[in-house]
Parts: sequence; C-alpha cells; structure tokens
Amino acid sequence: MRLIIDNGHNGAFNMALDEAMLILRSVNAIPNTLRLYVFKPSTITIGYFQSLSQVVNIDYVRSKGIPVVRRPTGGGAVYHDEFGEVTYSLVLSEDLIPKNIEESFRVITEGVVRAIRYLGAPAEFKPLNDVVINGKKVSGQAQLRRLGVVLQHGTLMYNTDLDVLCNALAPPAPKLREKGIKSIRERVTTVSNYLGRRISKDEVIKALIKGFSDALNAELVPSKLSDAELVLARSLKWKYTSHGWNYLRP
Amino acid sequence: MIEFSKSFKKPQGKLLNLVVRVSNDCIIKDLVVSGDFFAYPPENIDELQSRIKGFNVCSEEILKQVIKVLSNTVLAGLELSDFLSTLREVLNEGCRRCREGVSK
Repeated sequence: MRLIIDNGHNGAFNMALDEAMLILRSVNAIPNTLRLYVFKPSTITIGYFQSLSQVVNIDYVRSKGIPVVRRPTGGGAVYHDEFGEVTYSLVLSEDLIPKNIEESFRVITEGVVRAIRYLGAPAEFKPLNDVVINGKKVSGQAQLRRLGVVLQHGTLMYNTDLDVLCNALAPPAPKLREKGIKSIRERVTTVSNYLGRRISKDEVIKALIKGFSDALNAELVPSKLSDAELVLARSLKWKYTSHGWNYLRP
Repeated sequence: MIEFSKSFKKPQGKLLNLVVRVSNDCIIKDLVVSGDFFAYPPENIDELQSRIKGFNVCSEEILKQVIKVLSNTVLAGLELSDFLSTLREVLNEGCRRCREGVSK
C-alpha cells in the first residue's frame, strides 16, 4: 500500500485531493493509498449533510479567520488544528473491506486505535465512527463509497486547542441532551491531555504508520503524489471553495 | 410560505433534521434533509429532496417516492424506519396546518 506523508494544504485542496484520489483509484490509476496530512491553516470541515449554520459558530470562525469547508463524506463537524491534529485519508478497493458500514469503520479505524495505543493511551473504537479515551472523543471518521472504492478520512487530535474547538463548533442540542452534557468540552480530549505530556506531530505520524500497517496487515511504501492526482485535485478545488457547495445546506 | 421541521436523534445514533417549506396553496417548495448521518450514495438524499418538490403536502405519493429513492440507499447511523417516521410526522403536521389554513 502506498504511503503519502503530506506537508499540508488548505481545506479546499485537501478535500479535492481526497476526491481526486478516490476517482483515480477507481480507474486503477493509483494504488491503494494512505495519506497523512494536516490542514494549513486550521480549518473546520462539516459533513456532507450538515447545515452549516446549525453546526458552526459562524460569528466566531469569521472573527478568527477559520475557513469552513464541506466534505464529500457524511458525519459531523470537525476542527482540524494545524498544530494539534493529524488527518488521514485512505482510499482502497471496496472489496478489501467489509460491506457492512459499521464493520468497515471498525476495520479501518483500528489503525487509529492502535496508533493511539502505541502512544500510550487506552483508545477504543466507539461505533459508529469515533475513537475514545476513557469515553472522551479523540478521533472521528467519515466515509464515502463510490465506483468500487472506499474513501475514509479521519482525525487524530493529539494536541488540539480545545478552547477554539468548543467555541467554533455548535453541537446540536439533541446531541448534548443525549450525552447529558452542557458543552462539547466535556466529551472531547487529546492524546497529550491524557498522557500529561506534549506529543509531537512526528510521534503521531510514526504511530499512525505503524497502527495502519498493523491493522491492515499492509506494508506501507512511502511515495509521492502523482501529477494526475495534483492536476485533478487542482481542477476539483473550485468546488470546495464555492459558496454553492459549502452552503449546500445553509 | 409556511415552514415545518422535525429532528430525530436515536440513542448512540446520528442526528436527522427535516425542514419542509410549503406554499400557501399547500405545495411543497422545499425539503431540506440535514444531519450527521451517512448515506451511500449521498446523492440519493439530494435526489429525494428535489423529487418531492411540487407535491401537495397531503399527497400520499410523497412517501412512495421517498421509499423508492431510499430503497437504493444504505443509511448508517440512522434506520430507514426512523427516517420515514420523522418525514411522516413533519408531513402530517404540514398537511394539518395547511388544511386548517385552507378552511379558514
């Protein structure tokens, strides 16, 4: 399996690149690939079906200059901290993972669970698409299947600024009620918080490589993005910068 | 224009929000489906939203059209029955309010 360690791009390009990789994988133009990346600058992504105004504190993110990008995948809103979160995306043939959605989340997310355990924290998969440490979320995943290919991307919050996260995201009241909490702060944490020491991005990347390699029983071979991926991503980027896409559900 | 909405959140599941906008003559002008659930393929939800525009909010054909689209859709974090019952609730509310408006 190919491994891409990316220096980081803005949110629109990252989403365009994930989509480009899915398309190119579907025509066998690229192999199964794990890409590890960050968002530069820090960005909020929202799920394909989410109403932007319902899940993002728009006044706050505007005042802080935090971009908001709609993902091609479902799921919830995420704050991708440039200095405290690593995102992965995995594109692979659909026939390599369980057809059942929850099982496929479990199989792929095992890479994140193992990575966090290697770092020293007792991570657990929490269906449908979360990873928790002592019940607090440190990672969320989202998934899209198209043309026989699965794209799953997800987060690992190792040192995310949780104050910014809590101010920027507006969790819907039914979610807070169900969890019996008043604010999102009560149910999120970072690996650094748990371990009581500041984890570095390099440690996280090494742990993710080992975690996914072990979980998927695959040798990860470092490589670079192809010209085709970069060209297609550049041509798809317009979608992720457009008002029409990002406000698809206002 | 009248607007009706319903939310559904299953324990340990995902959130569903439905908003229906109905004209004064009871015609559905807009349906917005939102939430943090997953649908495969996601475009089917967009198809569903556009397919029921123009129907009378009281029409029984709406649910048939929705079922037709969702029969080719895999939902995750949300059951099909939850989706349909939430939609039925918001449509019933819309129909009731619309009929009250018409009879006045």
